[in-house]
Amino acid sequence: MEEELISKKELLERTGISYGQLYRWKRKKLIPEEWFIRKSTFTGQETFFPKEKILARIEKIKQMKDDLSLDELANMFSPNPAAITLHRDEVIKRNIVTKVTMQFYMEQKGEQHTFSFNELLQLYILDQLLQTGEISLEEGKGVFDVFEQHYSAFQGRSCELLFVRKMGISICLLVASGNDVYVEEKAKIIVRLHVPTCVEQLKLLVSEG
Amino acid sequence: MERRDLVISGAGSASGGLYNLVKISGTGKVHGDIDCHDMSIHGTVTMEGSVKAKAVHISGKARMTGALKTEHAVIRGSVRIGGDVQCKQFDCHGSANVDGNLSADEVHIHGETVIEGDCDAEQFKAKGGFTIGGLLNAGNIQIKLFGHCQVKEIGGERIEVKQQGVTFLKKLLFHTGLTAESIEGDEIYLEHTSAKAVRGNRVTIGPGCDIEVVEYQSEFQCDPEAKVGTYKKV
Repeated sequence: MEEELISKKELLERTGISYGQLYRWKRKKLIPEEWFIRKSTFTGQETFFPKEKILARIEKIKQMKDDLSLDELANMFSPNPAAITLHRDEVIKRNIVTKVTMQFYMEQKGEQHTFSFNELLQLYILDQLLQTGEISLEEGKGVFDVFEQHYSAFQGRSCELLFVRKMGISICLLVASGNDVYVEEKAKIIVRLHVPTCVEQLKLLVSEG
Repeated sequence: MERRDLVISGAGSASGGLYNLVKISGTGKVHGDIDCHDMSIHGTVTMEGSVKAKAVHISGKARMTGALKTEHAVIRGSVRIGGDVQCKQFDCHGSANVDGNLSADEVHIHGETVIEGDCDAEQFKAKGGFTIGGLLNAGNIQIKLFGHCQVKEIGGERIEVKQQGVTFLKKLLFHTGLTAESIEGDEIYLEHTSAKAVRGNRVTIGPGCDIEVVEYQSEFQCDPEAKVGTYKKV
């Protein structure tokens, strides 16, 4: 999984931001530490960034920084859950989660009217996975289980959701991000989802309403 | 739960836990993490664990193996902290060793400070010698050179490094100056600094500097007593 990198100098030229802004955003944790990749070059050490991610992030910060304070922005980008609850009808109405997924959730967990952010996140992730057709509804149970029991263990650190299938049997895993994962020959990683990205998308969806 | 005071005068040891006031004058040892409102130390103390407090005041010698989380930390003695430090204000008038990262709103250094990791702050003011093993990232950086300062990288909005009046004798005996690999910011003013690269919007290089590469956007000034390898406008 080689990502295309962009050097710091090139980044500043392309986006038109200054060193001060970049460092301030880093300090406020708008740009995660793990994106600062150090590499040796002939001029000594230089910092590189994953190109697509950083360009998208800076574009987003530039768009939103007039409306929101830096701290509010930091909240938005942090992997920590937002302190909100939404009503079921609203979730459906605003198209955050499809009806099918919602119904499936109800079947598993019983009737529920309001949803916390963590519950919404589970729904949102499953919804995404179902829509791409990579997993079946039945397998979705695994997503709920693993989230329910283990997501709290990450406590704001970023993690990835992995779905491995071998001979029709599937396993759902939560892994701290940035780790290499290798599976045996017949098994296959079907899904690899970066959870903080989902958190961010969901926060955007929720706050837009 | 009611918080009680922990007072050690003389020699003694205690276990960690929840306290209101922790006051140690003498020799003390604390086993375990401490969560207290106020901590004041006037002797020699070893804490095996982390410390969480509203205010921490250390005038003796203290060593903690874990992290320090507080609003206001004042250090007048010598302190060694094994973990990260997170606080609003960090004042060091003695000597401090932080093995992790330091993150604060305001950092004032008047003594000798060594930070092995990164240092994040809105305001960073230093008068004295310090070493930072990682990145010094602050909105406003003001460094008055009195001793030898070393930082791996500096980044921020306003960066100012000045040398205060140094007597002739002191000049001969001690090296005063700042060494860094790279310095990047919007407005940069440097004196007696040696760095591989300085990049910024407005860059002023003062006397006594030795810089390999300067890259600037709008303005560049260079003192005749400074040594600059190459400079270019980008």
